[in-house]
Amino acid sequence: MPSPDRFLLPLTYNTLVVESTTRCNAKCGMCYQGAGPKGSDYLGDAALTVDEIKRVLRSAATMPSVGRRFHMAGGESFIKMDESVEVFATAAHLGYTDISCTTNAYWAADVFKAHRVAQRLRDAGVLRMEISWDWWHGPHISPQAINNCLVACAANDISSNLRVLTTRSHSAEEALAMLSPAALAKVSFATSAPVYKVGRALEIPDEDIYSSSEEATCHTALNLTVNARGDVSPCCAGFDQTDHALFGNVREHELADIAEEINRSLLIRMVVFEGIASLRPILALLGEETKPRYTSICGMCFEIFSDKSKLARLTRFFEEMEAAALEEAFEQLQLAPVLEAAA
Amino acid sequence: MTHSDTCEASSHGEESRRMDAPTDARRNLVANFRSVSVQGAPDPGPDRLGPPAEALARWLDEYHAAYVEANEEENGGSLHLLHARTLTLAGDHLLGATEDVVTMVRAAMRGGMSTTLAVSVSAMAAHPHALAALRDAVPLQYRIDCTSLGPQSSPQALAACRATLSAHVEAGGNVSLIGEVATIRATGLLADELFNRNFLTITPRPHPGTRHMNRPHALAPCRDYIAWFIDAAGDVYPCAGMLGHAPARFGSIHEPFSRLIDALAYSAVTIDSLSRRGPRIADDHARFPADLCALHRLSVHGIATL
Repeated sequence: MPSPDRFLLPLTYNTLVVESTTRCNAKCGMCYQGAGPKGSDYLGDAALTVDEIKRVLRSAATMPSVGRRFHMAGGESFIKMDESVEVFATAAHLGYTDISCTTNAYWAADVFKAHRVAQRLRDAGVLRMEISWDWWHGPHISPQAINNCLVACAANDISSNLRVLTTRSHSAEEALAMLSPAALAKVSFATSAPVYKVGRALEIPDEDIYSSSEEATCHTALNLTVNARGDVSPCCAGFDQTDHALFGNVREHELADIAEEINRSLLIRMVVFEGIASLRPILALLGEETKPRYTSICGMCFEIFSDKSKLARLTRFFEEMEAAALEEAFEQLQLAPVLEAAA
Repeated sequence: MTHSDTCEASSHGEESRRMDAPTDARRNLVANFRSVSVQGAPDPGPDRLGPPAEALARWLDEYHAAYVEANEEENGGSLHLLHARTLTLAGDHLLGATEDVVTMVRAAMRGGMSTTLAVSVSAMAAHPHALAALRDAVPLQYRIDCTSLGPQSSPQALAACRATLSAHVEAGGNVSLIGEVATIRATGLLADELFNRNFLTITPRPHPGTRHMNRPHALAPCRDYIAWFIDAAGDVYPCAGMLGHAPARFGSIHEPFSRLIDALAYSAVTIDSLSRRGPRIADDHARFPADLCALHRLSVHGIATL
């Protein structure tokens, strides 16, 4: 049963996430961003400048709806190492208390370079590093780079989170078996999660994907996300990779204004508080077909918001709902006669 | 508030500043004491398993009320500070006292906190009915200690661990494990579809070699360790490292929560400083948390010296 109280809550974000570039030296078959050396399959070749990211950091630092956590991801953001270090140092200077990043650790192939880079990152304020490693990274990244990265993080007091993705045919064990036991003994956390059908993972057959409930909601898992084109989204789990430009771009608007736009959006509030599955009956009403079954809420969200036709109809539907609600509110306040007179 | 005077305070090299006890106490409470961790006795006797559930539940209610009021005053009721707050109940004895657990979980829920039960895999194996009863009664997350297993563990022990965890996951339980990655792998569960289809977290128990702290650049090393830590006697301490260290005792759950206000006001600057920079220990080679917390305890002779 939907809770009206919950629906009135402001959206709050755990972390400011900046996806600095769509480029990645790897091109993994499960990448939710569809990133590769020439950019993203979905967003093309795009990158934010250091000045743009600094402006975003300054803006988010004053927003009460965003936690003081900053996470930088790519593509692979460390293909521009100097710029990344500058961004982390700015975040530390601005008072972000939890500074983290995601990397595929390609830069750690050389053990000495791994230590130098880890020390630079730590000096710049990086506290945690999420290291992506699984069967799909195997063709692009050497296991030795991951080993070196884990050891370098431990030596430089960076908390490492070894993140492994799984499908029915590729287990966590398969990924860990490629790494050295001595390096694995250095991890601060190891996490494993099933691949969601988002981005390039859409090409993985359904029968290989572990499915999860469509009924979940995501209001406690939101991250204010700026993608490499500067578009802003309320999460970094797939919605950020859709070509929606629904709420605004940090190159044209202040991040705080865009966040307020997201907060006011009935469409987003419906998705966040009631769950993406709550759009099913609305899409049916609008004559838009949905799949009988999606494998996860993030996959469902990605597919619906990637579909221009569905998105246009949904946007119009919720705009009309908002207009009707406003009209009703005015009527209830008995302002209609006044407005008519004014008109 | 039991202490409302104002005075000049200078601590840990902080610049001299006006101290306003009620404001400092509120600020300290909201910023640093968002969660509660209740530890069972390390070697529990029959009478000292943990603090009494009713007393803890009452204390939690008072704490929530004070926290919400302080959050309103200091941050206009920020939702950030209200969510992701947790009560952690640690100790295998809890599986022999499910009614107490339910009482404490319900008290946590009244304040909007989630509860994590930290127990060993061997205790879970020994108390399947307790787990089932808890599952039916209250929402719980588990942090499962597998450190009793190691490289020398027999194949039977590893298989028993996997069987216990499988039953837990099949019943809808989460998989957050404490133990060495190598040992968890040896159980074979990372190749098992049941575990691969779920979110799984492995946290190796920190040992001195895992965190060599880069002291000159340390940012917020203690932050994750600062919370209300309550020992088996019901005594309240400000961080994991000080648990059981009498000079750092803030108070007791057997006293009204308001009795902690003085300690909160008096420690506001030092707790902030700990949270941002860690303890000021001269030894740059001290490893965190093992060495550093031990050295810090040696230097604490009262709340003023935290």
